Amino acid sequence: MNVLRRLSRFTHFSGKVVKPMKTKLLGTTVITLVVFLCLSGSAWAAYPHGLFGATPDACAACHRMHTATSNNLIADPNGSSMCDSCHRGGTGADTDVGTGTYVTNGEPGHAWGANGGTLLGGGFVTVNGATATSMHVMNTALTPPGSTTGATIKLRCIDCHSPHPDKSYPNQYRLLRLNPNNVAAARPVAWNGPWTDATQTAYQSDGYRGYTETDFVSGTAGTQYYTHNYKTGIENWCIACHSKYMTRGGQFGTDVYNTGDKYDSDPAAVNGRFRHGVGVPLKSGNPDQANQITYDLTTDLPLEDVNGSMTRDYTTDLLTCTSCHRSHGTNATMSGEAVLENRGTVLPAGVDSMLLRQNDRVMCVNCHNM
Amino acid sequence: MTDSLEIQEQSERIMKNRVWVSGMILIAMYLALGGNALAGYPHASFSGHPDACASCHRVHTATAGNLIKDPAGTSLCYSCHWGGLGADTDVKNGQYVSTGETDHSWGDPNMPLLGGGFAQVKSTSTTTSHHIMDTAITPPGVNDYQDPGAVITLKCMSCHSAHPDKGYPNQYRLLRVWPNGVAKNDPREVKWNGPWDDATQTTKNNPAREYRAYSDKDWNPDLPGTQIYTMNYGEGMSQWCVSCHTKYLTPKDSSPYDAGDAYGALVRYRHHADTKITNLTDTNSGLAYNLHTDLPLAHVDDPGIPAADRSKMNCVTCHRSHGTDAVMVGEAILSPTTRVSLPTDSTLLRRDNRGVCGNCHTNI
Repeated sequence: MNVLRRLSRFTHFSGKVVKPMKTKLLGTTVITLVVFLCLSGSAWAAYPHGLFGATPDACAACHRMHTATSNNLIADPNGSSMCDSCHRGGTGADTDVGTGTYVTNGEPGHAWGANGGTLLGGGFVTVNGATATSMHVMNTALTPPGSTTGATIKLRCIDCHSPHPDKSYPNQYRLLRLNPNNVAAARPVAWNGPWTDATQTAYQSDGYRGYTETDFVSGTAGTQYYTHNYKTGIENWCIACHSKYMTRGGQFGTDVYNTGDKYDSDPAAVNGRFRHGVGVPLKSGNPDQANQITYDLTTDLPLEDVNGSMTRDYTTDLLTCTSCHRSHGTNATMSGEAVLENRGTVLPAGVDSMLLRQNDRVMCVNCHNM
Repeated sequence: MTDSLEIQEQSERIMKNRVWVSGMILIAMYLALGGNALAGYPHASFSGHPDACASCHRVHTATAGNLIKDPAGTSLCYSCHWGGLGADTDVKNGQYVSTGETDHSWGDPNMPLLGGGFAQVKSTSTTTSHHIMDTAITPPGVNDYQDPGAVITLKCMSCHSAHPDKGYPNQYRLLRVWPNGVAKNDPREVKWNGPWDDATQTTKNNPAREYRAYSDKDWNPDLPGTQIYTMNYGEGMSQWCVSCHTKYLTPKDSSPYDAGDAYGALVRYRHHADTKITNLTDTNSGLAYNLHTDLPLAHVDDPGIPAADRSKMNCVTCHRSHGTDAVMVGEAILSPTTRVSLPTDSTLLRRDNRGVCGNCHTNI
């Protein structure tokens, strides 16, 4: 920034020089413009969510001191469109959450994802060029599936993401809110990078892709992996809204509740609902609570790399919500039994693919290679 | 006789030389001590035989009201406040100089004026924004629902009074006590901490404090956090500014307001002014702030007020009053909606981009 300022000031200043300097002036101006376009252009001169230097331009992207239209001095009256102004179309950020694509015309650097790659969280409108078949529905009052209270939430981007990191958790994954849905205790979510140090100056080496699915190929289990991105806390974070989804066993008769399906009034469901475990390893050591079965599975779905080893270890890496689900939206298609609720009732459009990462129930066989 | 004539001629030559030398000495002393500067302070404190009246007034040939000799008010002010010809405060070049007045102890020579300049800052950088003079414009923040279409043609005299208003002899910077026609029962007094220690303006502020009323004391935007401004302002600055920018002390509008951006008429929210920055809890968000800054704060020198509450940010904490050379790039010149460049960019901000934000909110 200082270089830019000095260059531009030199240009201003040199605008007063005498005729023989005109050639140098022209050269200086051209260089200045080139440097400006290369370093700034339409992209950020500084990361807008943190790491501000002494003279940040990024504050002005979201805030107005005297004409803000919403609280916290936000410029835009609609929180989501404020975020979209950068995060759709690649005009200000590499993470285009509308198309679910990592683009390289938004920010300088572009080291955290493959150009054109699919975002790990998918997109709200399209994913891989196909229309999203389900997504976290925004700006509409809904009761989250698995809610204990049944309370509705009108989701906006900032319900899940904080624009600025909490001071006590500077490395919170994806700037996820520490107290989503106003939970009392903080829900930290740790990840492996892209930094290797607390000061965020040294980066993970060799192709670390914090945002995109670099090598993922549907259905080729065991050969290709996601970047070892998550470490801990994802599932605990998600249940801030989907509060029942870490309660595994209805066998204990403690989780009798209506989900909106036809079993709500079925006397056979007195034991309540059963759920797949999350926060569990895929290999040994964590037998299924109901059947006492020890599993020895592998997957190429994203797992939590709890020990930060950056290598797959199925005894320590844990299955989490985002192993199976995208956070924003998915283009996975459901057919056959995958769209039929118990043979007969077709699920309503938009809620059938359930943000699942892969078509039908490919995630199931990705681990359970039966 | 001849000897007598020679002696007389020699005596006359000596006298002529003495007169010549004396004249030269007097001219030299005049240039050294006064030069073309004013022999008396032109705005007040006139002695029995003031010369300063003639700086601005002609009793029989004035070209403007109040017997002002110059038909254009701004150029009359510039006749002293530009180039160090009659005042140390060169407001056009935005620099404190040491050639205008006899006492140069209220600022650091060649440092930027606290308020910046209308054409340059520190006589080097061209301004990127300034209070626009002699042009009818609507001030930002005018409550256009209460005062639709209000325009102001700014002159120096719109903000400054040539002579102190009676009852307010220590008004900061001779700011008008009733700017923009505010009601007589609503005076906009702006207190400051000097440069006097007494009401009669004879005792100067303690030199040990290096009181610098006019210049950016040691201010260096490339070394944030290491140097501070003199504690200059007292209370009242923000209240004074909102005489024109009427809405800017309202944290949240009670009715919609079209700010001229793409969002139309909506209730608008604003950064607080006249607020302390330490030991502060935002009543709206519940967030606790304990900030520090090297930007100029208003300092209320009142031992009866807790120390943490004595320093407050106000309008001129972030903005220069006259003009700035701050440079805006990237998002700082883009509309958040259309992402195209805005026509007005630096908005008299003290520092490049949003350096004024980062100077307090360092932990974001």
